Amino acid sequence: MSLDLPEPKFSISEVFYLSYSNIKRRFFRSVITALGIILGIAFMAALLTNSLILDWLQTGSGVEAYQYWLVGISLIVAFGGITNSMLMAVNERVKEIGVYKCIGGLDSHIVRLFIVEALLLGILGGFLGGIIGIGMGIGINLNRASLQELSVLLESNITSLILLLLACIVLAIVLTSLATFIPARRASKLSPAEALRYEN
Amino acid sequence: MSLEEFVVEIDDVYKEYTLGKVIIHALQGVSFKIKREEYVSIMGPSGSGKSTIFNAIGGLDTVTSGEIYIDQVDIAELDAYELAWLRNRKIGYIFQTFNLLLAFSAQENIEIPMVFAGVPREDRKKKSKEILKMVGLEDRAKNKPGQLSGGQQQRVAIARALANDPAIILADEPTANLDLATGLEIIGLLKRLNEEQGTTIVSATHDLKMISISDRIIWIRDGKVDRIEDRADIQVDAMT
Ligand SMILES: Nc1ncnc2c1ncn2[C@@H]1O[C@H](COP(=O)(O)OP(=O)(O)OP(=O)(O)O)[C@@H](O)[C@H]1O
Ligand SMILES: [Mg+2]
Repeated sequence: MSLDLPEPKFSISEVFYLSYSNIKRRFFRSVITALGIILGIAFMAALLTNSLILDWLQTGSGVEAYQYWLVGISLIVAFGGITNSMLMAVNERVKEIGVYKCIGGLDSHIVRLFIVEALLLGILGGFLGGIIGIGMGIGINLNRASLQELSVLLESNITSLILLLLACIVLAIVLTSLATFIPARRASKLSPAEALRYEN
Repeated sequence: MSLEEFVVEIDDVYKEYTLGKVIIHALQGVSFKIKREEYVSIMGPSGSGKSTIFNAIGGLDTVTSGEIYIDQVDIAELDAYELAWLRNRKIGYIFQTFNLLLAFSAQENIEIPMVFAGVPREDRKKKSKEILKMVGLEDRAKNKPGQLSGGQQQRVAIARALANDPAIILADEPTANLDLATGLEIIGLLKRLNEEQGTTIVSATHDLKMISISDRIIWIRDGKVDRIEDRADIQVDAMT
């Protein structure tokens, strides 16, 4: 067909504005989703921080095998918690995707809207979860070393902690985006009529 | 009679739904044509296939066989991008349950189809205000759908349908969730659009209030066109 159509424009600022409005309007739901992310990331960050501190303190044989196990498990918990929150958040909104399609949204527009929302939640959740987790990781070592010892230790290893925080944010972003992209893309492929009558 | 007179043509359309092993024949060879600037109501008992026709004409769902032309374009041949364009520019949809985006104000709901159409921000603001005024909601621009009555939400939905000056407005039971007086207001608004702006209106409905203002009525029964009545015939019918 040659309808001779113009290129669609959907600028970054429009996408951000629409995504931001959606987060705001679903504030309570967004907080719950963010909490899921924060919990998963905090648990992991706490265990990683604990392992790091034990390593720096050189207590006995250093990091023990069970520590690696715990970190592995915490990764799985973070993965499960975050993907579950995001999958549910998209699933609740298939009808909304149908509305976007009826008023002329391209599949790619819709996916972009959801991804930006996931990014915003991922950055926030990763940052807060990382901070809380690192704080807890430090807290549980207060009985092993004095506050003074610990603060000297942390200061000399501050780059590692910052890297850990960055890693938390990156992980949260990757998990939220992936766990949003896959269902949002699938839902955007439904015909508008199917999406509108979708029951969850 | 020139070809261009028909804005919607549906030719021998079949639609089957499969539910497990059961095949439901929702449409069984439906054909009709709708002229530009016509006001057509599609009526028939519950389950007769009205919503299925609405989805088919609107390019909202695929059909099993048959052809559908909107402005002489066979919509089965459109790719995803062209279909989105059709839904964005050519057709405005109105639903029984309004289907507004709850996160956005009345004005923003009208602007979003224009965002997808690439209309610059300033023009969007101006246009959406004009349309809001036309549907009598200029003072509710900032309200979210949750803060509006059913009738007001349906007005916003009509305003949204008008955002990109569509050739056709398709409605599926637009008055079914409204009381008598509000339903009459909505019908009056649709009729005014039809007369003043020349928008073609096609509405699936149970609402007998629609009969007197329709140019034609297409009666559907068991997935087939039962009969098509002109307004003149309807008045005769009403007397007998
Ligand atoms: N998604 C679906 N899956 C299976 N069957 C369907 C589906 N949608 C509609 N049908 C069936 O197709 C037939 C026509 O349904 P349709 O919704 O078009 O009727 P309708 O005339 O709009 O009815 P109403 O006046 O109650 O809205 C019915 O038998 C219905 O059960
Ligand atoms: Mg119906």
